Amino acid sequence: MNNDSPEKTTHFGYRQVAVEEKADLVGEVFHSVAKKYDLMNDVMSLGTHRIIKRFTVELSALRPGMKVLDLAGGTGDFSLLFSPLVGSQGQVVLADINESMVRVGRDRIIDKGKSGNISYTLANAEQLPFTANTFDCICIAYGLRNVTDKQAALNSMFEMTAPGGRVLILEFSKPVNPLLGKAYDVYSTLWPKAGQLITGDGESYQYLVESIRMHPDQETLKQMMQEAGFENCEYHNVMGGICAIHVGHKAASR
Amino acid sequence: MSVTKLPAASPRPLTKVNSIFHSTIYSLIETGLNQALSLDPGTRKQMESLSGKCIRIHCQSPRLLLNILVCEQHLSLSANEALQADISIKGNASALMKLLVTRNTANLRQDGIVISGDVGLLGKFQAILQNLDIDWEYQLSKFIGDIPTQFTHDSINAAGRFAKKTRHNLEEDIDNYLHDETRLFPSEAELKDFYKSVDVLRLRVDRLDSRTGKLQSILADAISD
Ligand SMILES: C[S@@+](CC[C@H](N)C(=O)[O-])C[C@H]1O[C@@H](n2cnc3c(N)ncnc32)[C@H](O)[C@@H]1O
Repeated sequence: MNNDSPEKTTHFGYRQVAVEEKADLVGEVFHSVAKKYDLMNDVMSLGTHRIIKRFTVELSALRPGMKVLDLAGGTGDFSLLFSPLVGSQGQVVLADINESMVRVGRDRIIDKGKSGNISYTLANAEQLPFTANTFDCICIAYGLRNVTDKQAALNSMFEMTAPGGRVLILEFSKPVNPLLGKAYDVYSTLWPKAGQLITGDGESYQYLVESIRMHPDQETLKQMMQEAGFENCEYHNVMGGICAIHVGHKAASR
Repeated sequence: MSVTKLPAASPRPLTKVNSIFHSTIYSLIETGLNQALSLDPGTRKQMESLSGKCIRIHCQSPRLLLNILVCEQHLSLSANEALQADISIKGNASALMKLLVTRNTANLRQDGIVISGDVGLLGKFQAILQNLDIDWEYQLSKFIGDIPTQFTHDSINAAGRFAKKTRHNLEEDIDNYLHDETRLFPSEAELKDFYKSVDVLRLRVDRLDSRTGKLQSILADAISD
């Protein structure tokens, strides 16, 4: 954020809040929605979020023995999908800034008996606490828009990516067709109400709607990835750009 | 540290071949296959030696790309060209289906099927893919959850029935063929000819893919580090 005023502020949806405060506010949002998150995901994605997630996993090009970081992994959906792909010789790391999300994720994964190759870390995407060049794939799904300094996060992700590896960014984006954009805009104004009904927490979804509208569009995000060092950056529009999956590569070094 | 530019095989622009629609179908098939595998310890055991191997099925009409990756006792399907395949099969849908269902490698040439890579893997993949009985309806409800199941229920069931019927018809055809046409069994000369052309093809593909191979070793080094 290029805000030089002494009191540093950032977006929290449409509200301007102090930078330090944002991490807490984001935390609160996910504390309150962790459990009923899945159902709301169905509502927001018209029931397609599982398929979009799977599609993203297909783009990971992972295979047995590889290491993958499920960044902003929350309740662990992606970790669960990655786990069988990398197998017992591989490694999945679920990292999230929010302790209660990590806990929910871990409980879920243990419940499903899939904990073998998955480990958990409390981490801020802006400053990842891993060794450089570690992961064959880093995936951040519906997480980047919550990060205060997105460029810092992309830089950190680039550093942690192994040469020859890739990064996947799944995020709500800008519908390519203005009519669809309009329709989805109108539809998304229903989320806070749906969120209130389903999770008893409309405010969180008000925040989601706003944060989605504030998020950089496809081309902007692609440029930011290139700036971080990723090569051959591409994106897939899903459902006409309601979501987009960006893929970037770190050159193999020798 | 000098930086090697990635060969074209890995970061090739994302093609239209992989889409969310493929993903939907593949996830259904994948769940079905793994469900069937979970009931079949013998095949699972057999798969273990194939772990990490990937077969790419390149269907030309309709245009479709399918990777089947063996992950220990689990099969993973995808349409991502960036995933390196160990063996690749090209052909049209009916020929590919025939090949995968019947385990008949003799008519490859006639059917216009082209194989590259480690041809020896073909039989092993066929063995795994054969005769898995899949409950599509159950798989679908498990995967998609409550909301859209009502919508898709009928159409997918129809698709499942269609697939079953197709397979059934195909099996019947093949059965008839087996009984009527002794010619199906290839002569030794034909087989030799086939294997020879496979070898030639393999050499050519190897040469073309030497850059890809380089990447593979670089990746392997990076992983083992
Ligand atoms: C919408 S959830 C996505 C969860 C999961 N990736 C999925 O797709 O189901 C967003 C997650 O991002 C996490 N998050 C927000 N800011 C973060 C940051 N700076 N670093 C790491 N995680 C963060 C939140 O705690 C939350 O769990």
